[in-house]
Amino acid sequence: MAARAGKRRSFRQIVNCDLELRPLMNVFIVLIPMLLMSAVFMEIRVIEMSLPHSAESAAQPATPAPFDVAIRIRGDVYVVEGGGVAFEVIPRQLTAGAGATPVEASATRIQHALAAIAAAHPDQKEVRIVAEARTRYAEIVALMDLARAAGLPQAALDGARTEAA
Amino acid sequence: MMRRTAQRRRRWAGRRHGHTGLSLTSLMDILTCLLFFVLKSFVAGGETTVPPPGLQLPKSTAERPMVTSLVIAIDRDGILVGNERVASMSETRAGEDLLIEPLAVRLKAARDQMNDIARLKGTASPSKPRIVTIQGDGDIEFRVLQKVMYTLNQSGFSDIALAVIKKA
Repeated sequence: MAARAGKRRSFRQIVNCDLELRPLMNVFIVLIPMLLMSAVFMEIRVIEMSLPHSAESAAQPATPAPFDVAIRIRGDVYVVEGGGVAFEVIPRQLTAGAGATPVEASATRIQHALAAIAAAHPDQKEVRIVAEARTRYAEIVALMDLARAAGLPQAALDGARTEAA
Repeated sequence: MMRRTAQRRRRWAGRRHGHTGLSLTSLMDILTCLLFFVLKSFVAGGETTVPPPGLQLPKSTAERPMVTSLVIAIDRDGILVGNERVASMSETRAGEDLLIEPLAVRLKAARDQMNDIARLKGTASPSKPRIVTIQGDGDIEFRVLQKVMYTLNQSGFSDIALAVIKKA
């Protein structure tokens, strides 16, 4: 009889030594959706620009840059200019696919042209992007990327008629 | 005797069935992996922001991280300062004047508020130029961006950061 009671006790001890995972599971089930909802999976970066101070620009006459590098978006061409002279005219593919910018087809040529100017004028760090009123913002950002890759990290935006930056 | 045997059998059977719970160990493994993945994907440090729904930022190779600043979002429907819509797209496009009046009013209020905070904290001079982050949809036209930038400049915000999504 005593032996039987001992057996029962040992059986109960073995059965009750399981880990109690349910509270931990409950914590996980709450924590994971909360983290997934608040997680940021895309990395946001910025392109910094400085506008001329409105008070300063009104008081002082604008001084021309020593050597002006510009990319003009003009209809179906990009005109890369150096010192006011057209350096290269590159076709602009207006029928780019969905999500693509017209820059992509001409990216290599634009970058080579800008890199050639940057190599000839090592002190030059600025490039002016002269856009048309209807030019898409994504296209301007793509041109800024090309200029940065070519060694011209400071981009200024300019309207085809009126100056913005 | 027979009844007692039957009772004992039922009791043993009950005990056996009482301990056939779900095996949670494999599920715990999955959840642990998921938890570490989610924690790893969090941006450690720096400023994070979520663009308004429907706004698709352009992709870029820019590397500079975002800084804490006033955020102006330009989506296809108009202009938002913070979460407040200040001008519609038709209102923004209309007219040849580069200044967007409702945006200028809102920016003036934001600038006054920033100056008050800076004065109370004694951390920065009120005349110091402040940074504004523009979250523009990739499809907006340059003339809209040009008007927003002109209005920013006229309102005393001369440092601008254009928010983009980092290219993979």
